[in-house]
Amino acid sequence: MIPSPQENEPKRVKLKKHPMNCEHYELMIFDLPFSARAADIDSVLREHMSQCSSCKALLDSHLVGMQQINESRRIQPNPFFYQGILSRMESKTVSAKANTVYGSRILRLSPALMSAAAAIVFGVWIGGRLTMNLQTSPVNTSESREMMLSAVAEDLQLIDISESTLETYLMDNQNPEQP
Amino acid sequence: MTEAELVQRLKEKDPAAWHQLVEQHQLLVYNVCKGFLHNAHDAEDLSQDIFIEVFNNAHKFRGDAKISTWLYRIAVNRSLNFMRNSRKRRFWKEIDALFGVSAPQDATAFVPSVETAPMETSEQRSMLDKAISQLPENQRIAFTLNKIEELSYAEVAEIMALSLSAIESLIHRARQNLRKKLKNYYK
Repeated sequence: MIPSPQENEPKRVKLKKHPMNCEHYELMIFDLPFSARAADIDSVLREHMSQCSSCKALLDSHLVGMQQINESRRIQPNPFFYQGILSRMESKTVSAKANTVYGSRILRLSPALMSAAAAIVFGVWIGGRLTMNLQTSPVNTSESREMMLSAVAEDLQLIDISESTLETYLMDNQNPEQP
Repeated sequence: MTEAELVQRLKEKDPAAWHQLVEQHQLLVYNVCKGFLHNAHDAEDLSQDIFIEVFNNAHKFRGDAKISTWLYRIAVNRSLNFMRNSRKRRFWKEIDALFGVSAPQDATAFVPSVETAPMETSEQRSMLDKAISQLPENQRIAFTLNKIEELSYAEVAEIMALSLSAIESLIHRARQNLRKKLKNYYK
């Protein structure tokens, strides 16, 4: 059976035309100047908003943010602005200020820095003293060894208190049963 | 006084001309700084420094652009430098706080009146500020100048010394980035 020419043609699926392309309108929202108010919105965008709650939520939130940024802008000149510049210039030039910014800070912090330095020096001194006390333990010194030897020799009633005499005496008396 | 005369007198370091320049353009400079720094005190200090710089370097102004363009350029560059150096300042502030030392207050600091006091910052504003701050530098400059300062593409191009198509592209990409960042949050 030969198919009819109509059947040969690929089936055309009739897509339901999406009434709006949200991405396009979202970009339109971010194209608004920050001074824009709801009344200034373009009619095309407004029409889309009436049908798309998602884009409307985006627009409403964005308008709040934009409005607050715009309202934070100064609209009246500061009457003390020029006077402020003059006093700034009198105290220091811009370049001098850049060079001494850390110096002035250090000056301001000097009492605190001096206290910190004193605390460090005191800590080092205390630490040094403690370490020195540990190192001067009498057990390991030759002087204390000599004192110990003389004490042992005295106990054993030896006349010669040299180390070799002591060792000989101890070896001789270590095992009296051996010949 | 025409702009050419003003420039000439600025180069001669005429205090009256300089005073006039400050009065005419302080809002421009302050608002640009504020737009980048999001902090009124920093913006005030920086804008005063900018006018001192203008006074000291007036002889470098070639006069081939408008004074406002020159001021925008300086304000944008100084604001970006200020932000880059903010890490150093944060470090010193932490040191100050650690030792309980507070920085001296500027007696001439401008205190906004009740009418001009900024309203409480909303979450939407914070998110928008943050999203703009996170844009790549050129996109942020172009977007801020075009959408917040409401300068034309041609003016932004002149300030940034880029072509018109480059500015269009930067602003388009900035919008796309903001859409990506804020879409989910807002919805």
